[in-house]
Amino acid sequence: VSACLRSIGVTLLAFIVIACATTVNEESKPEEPLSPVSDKEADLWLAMDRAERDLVLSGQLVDDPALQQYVRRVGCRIAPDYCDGIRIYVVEQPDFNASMAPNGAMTVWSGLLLRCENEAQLATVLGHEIAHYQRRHSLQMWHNRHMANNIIQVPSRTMSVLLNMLSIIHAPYSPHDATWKAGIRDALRIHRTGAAVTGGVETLRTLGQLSLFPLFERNQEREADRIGFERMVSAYYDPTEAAKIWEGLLVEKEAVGSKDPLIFFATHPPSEERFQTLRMMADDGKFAGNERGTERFVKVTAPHRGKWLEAEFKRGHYARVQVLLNRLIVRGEKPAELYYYQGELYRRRGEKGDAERAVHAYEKALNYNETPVEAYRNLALVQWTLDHTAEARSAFQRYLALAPEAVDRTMVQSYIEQLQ
Amino acid sequence: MKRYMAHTWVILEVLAGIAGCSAHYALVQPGTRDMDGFYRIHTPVAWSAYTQDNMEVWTINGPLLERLVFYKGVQPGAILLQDLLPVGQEVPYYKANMRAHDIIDLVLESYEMAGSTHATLQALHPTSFGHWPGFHFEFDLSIDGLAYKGLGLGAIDEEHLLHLILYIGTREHYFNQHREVIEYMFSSVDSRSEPETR
Repeated sequence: VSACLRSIGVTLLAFIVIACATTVNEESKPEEPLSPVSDKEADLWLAMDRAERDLVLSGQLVDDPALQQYVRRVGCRIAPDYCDGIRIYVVEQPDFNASMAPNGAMTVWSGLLLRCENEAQLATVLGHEIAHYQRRHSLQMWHNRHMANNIIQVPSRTMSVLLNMLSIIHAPYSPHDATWKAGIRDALRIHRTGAAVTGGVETLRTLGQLSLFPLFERNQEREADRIGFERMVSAYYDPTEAAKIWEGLLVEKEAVGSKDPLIFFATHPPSEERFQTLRMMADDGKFAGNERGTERFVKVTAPHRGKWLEAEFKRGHYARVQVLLNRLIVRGEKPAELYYYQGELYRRRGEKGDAERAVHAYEKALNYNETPVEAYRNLALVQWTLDHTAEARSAFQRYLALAPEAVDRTMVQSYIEQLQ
Repeated sequence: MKRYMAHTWVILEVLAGIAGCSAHYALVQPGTRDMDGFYRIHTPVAWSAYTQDNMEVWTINGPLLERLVFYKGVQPGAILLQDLLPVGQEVPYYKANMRAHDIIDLVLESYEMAGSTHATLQALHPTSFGHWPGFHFEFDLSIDGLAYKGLGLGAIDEEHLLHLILYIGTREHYFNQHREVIEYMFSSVDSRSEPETR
């Protein structure tokens, strides 16, 4: 286990490197796969390749070959010149993030797909990340920071540890402010869970190393925005969608404030200017395409949406889920599922007035045929807290009628007896 | 095995020091153990035990492989895995009006927030926790890609205090190795009040 964790950890660390950038004057030529140019880089490549293999075997990838293939196809569509050199992996992980290692391995978090409305928006983010890769930003950063030896020596980590470390790096907006320090503290606490499994000594050392990574500079972000935009419009996507994905994230960021910062923004500082620039580029240019690919995107992601929303709940992202649900409800896709999860949000959060709000949401959900059967059970639980015993009993009975083989059947039966 | 155990202990000791916690292991001998006056439990085997925050952890082969966690008399408003959850973020906490399903959601969400994944309920049924009406549940989760299985026994007492015993072991080998012992221990809980010890 230790060896496995170690190699996964190295990969993850390698992916973290992606998030860092410096300005590079020479753009790599299209159709020229990136490759190591020194012994040091070759060592890094080897470590990343090994970690990538372990990531594939880690069980963290979304278990849906059609979805994985779909995202890879989008990547190849916007970057045909790099299609043979990049590998894209969709991992089960809440929150919005994507990152690309210098060896061409890109991870796309499921929370990112949850927040995209269509294929054009996904293409925007992939294009942005590929731009960082194309410009060798992270490698340059790696050299600048003299991290080669340290990275190679990083010991055992796993996917979750990597992701946790990412959260350390990305959570703060500045390594000098209080939020950064709080992020480090949080990460240490999180790692103490993993410590029970992986050991935490190396984690602490690694944290110290990783904290050296800075944010992307504005120039690099502008450059990645520009290249990403050019790639997506060259693939005939609707140019107006480029700004929309970032705008949606800004709304989410403003809704949750500094309590629960978005990981992606920590290394990709958002600014109004960037979004305005993307809007202007879309308005000013004459582009051949206006494809959004909404239907294709929804078809492959919709089967996972409930699970991804659930994952956000389980990370306590209540405020973010609320923003997401409001946005999704406006779009009108699968309303039964969305109202059900709105009920779940209120039930689990449990603030004043949430029980009534949960009842309202569950009842809306139950107006649709495809509502998860658990809506009846969870509606009953909330009705019970409101002392609506008759309604609670009725909803529990309905749940058992619809799910006679439920794993909690005897428990629900005992509830009904208590409510008699 | 002996060598591995020694290695594990070294890691745990170092961790304890670095994490700033005062995890000192004590031996729990086979027999009946009083749990802070809330209830008594009988163990047929010896355990190593330490206390962290509001939980008591028992283990035989090390918490990397399996652990038995006791939450005793948790007050409304308290959070589980307190020291492992992110600071400044909304975290789930125990509420006095929770039912078995809500408490299991609380447990699984707490594990996920602390870094585990795929925490999923597999079975739930009513049972007794000593003389309190309680619930017994099974769940799966993954920590750092390693699959675990878990058992839980919970109850809310007359004073709305939550009592929870959680057992987690690697799906391969350790969970099944001790399952029978754990189920016996669950059934041995005696919560008849003994005012002199409360």
